[in-house]
Amino acid sequence: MIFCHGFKPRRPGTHPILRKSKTVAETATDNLLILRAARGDQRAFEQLYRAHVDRVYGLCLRMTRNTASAEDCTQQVFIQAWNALPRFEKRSAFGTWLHRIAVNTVLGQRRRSTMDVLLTAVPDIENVDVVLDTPVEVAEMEAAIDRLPEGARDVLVLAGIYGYSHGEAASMLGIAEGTCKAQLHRARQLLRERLSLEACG
Amino acid sequence: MNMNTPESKRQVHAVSDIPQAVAPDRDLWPQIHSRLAPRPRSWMLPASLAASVLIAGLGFVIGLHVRGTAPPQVASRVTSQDAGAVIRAALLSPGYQSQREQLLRALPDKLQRLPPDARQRVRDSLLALQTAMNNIEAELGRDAGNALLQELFIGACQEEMRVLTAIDVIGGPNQEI
Amino acid sequence: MNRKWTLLVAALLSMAAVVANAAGTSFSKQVQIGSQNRVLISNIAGSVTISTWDRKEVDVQGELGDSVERVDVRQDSGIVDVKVVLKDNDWMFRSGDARLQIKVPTDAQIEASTVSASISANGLRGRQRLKSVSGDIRSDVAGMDLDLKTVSGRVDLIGSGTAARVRASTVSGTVTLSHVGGDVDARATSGDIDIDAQGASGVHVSVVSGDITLRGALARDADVDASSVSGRVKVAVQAPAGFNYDVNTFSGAIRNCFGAEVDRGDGRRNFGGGRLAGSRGEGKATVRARSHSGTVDLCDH
Repeated sequence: MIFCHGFKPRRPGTHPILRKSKTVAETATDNLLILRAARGDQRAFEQLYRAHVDRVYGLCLRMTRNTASAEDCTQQVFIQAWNALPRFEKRSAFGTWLHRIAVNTVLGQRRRSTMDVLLTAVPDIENVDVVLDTPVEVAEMEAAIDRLPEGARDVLVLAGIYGYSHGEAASMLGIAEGTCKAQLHRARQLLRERLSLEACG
Repeated sequence: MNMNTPESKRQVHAVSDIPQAVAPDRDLWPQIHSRLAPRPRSWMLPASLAASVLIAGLGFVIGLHVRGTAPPQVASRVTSQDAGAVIRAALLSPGYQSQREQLLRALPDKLQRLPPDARQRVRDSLLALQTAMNNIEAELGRDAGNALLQELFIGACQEEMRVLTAIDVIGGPNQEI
Repeated sequence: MNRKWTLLVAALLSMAAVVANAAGTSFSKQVQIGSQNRVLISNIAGSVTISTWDRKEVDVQGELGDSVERVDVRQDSGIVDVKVVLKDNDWMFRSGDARLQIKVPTDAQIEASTVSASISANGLRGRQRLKSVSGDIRSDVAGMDLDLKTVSGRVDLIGSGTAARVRASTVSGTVTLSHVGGDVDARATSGDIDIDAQGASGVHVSVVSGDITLRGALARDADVDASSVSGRVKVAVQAPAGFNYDVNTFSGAIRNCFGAEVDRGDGRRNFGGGRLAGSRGEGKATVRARSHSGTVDLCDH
């Protein structure tokens, strides 16, 4: 395994390790748990939490690129979900609904940090906060995604990793569908360039 | 380097192979559980109504052009019911949030219109304000029911709005402030 | 020989023209004060000095820099409008200095706004609305209603102890209010606020990272509220019948000169912070101070 210029593997233990977890299919059990949680059953809500936290945390992590922020984001998502659960109308899957809350939470945090972005010179982000103990290829992919510009990364994470349609991703991010498609195209182009540059030739 | 090789295309398509689920390093449930507001039996109307009134009230206070201090009774009306989240929900109310976003969008241009030394001092002030808000909010995350923190947070938000509004009136030549 | 003299005279005339331009253009105009008794003043750079006289006229004198196109002085709908107009749109860094000296009736209501020009007002009894982006604002409290705002400049106000409504704010500058009475509201983000109260009935002060110093005499039923996030708050005031005090900090230290003990709370305060509440004298006035991490000093003399 040869690492080329620009890709620096992290020392084990210095960064969080991502583990594979099962995805959770929407089931009738979920719906029953939602009903009970909406009536105030916190144990039911805990089961919903256990079932969905990994996908929520994964999304938060990829959008915030920071484990502390991802933990905060995840907590916010479930607290807001608890508060809004009585109004959840099941027009979308529960997991999708949680992802919408997650995206809103991250975007809201970014808006509150806008002044920092506007006022401070932001250098090119080269640091990679995430490392995998999975095959290198996926690790390189995550690292390259991590270095994408924010808009392109958001779209790639939602559409590429989490499988949302252009329309759904656009709606979550509050952008036009055409913009979403353009960002996704840009993300793929940039990924190709960077992964090609990092491959030894 | 040919960027359209089968190799690079295969790598890009592997984005979908990246695991969606990532387990956090620690169990977040205890902290989440501690901040879940208990639901009253007949939760529907009273809770939503009370929350709406409270959020509307907070939103009104926070969205004001800054005159006068944050009234203490606002903080005391905010219950232990996840005050931090309530305050944030109030901040995300349409009026306040849209006004703030509008002001932030205009901010870079407005700053550029300042004389250089004034611009740097204002930037430093804005950063100090942002740092203060982040610090208070972080503490609120750990102690959401703390009335002092709530009051300071609301005050900082009001101050932010005051500053953004003050800078926003900076215009072109001969424009009155 | 004649040619040499011609050239010499031409050179002298050119130099005279340069000198004349460097000295700026003088401006002078007077108009009657309008029925609304209001004067609006707008300048970019330079200075605005406002004084009073006993005529029902507005007198504008000025020295104008080379980028100043003109000064409009108009009376319209009962309002006198004094506006400096620059020659082109590139106003920011040109030397568009206009130094204005304006005389107004003593009871006129004044609204002055500048970008970097300083504003100085003296003897105004009418309402004052003085705003600047980076210029300093200086005024005295001869009237009842003052609103002084700057983004990065200083605000200096000298009162006479008479009651007035005073609003002073800055983002990164400082606010200094001396001998102020009545209802006072002062705010700064990172600048310091220094208030010397003289019979003030209401003092509301707020900073984020600057320091607050409040001293002097309060009215009997005064209400004082001082808030800081990380700056220091120092309150040393006297009230005829004493005051109730309530000081609350999250992690800042609390000190007082009368030996009251700070309540450290339920153990969460082991990193600092606490609460100090009680009365001095009859406790008729109210003093409230709070801070996140700044130190609060409270004294009753």
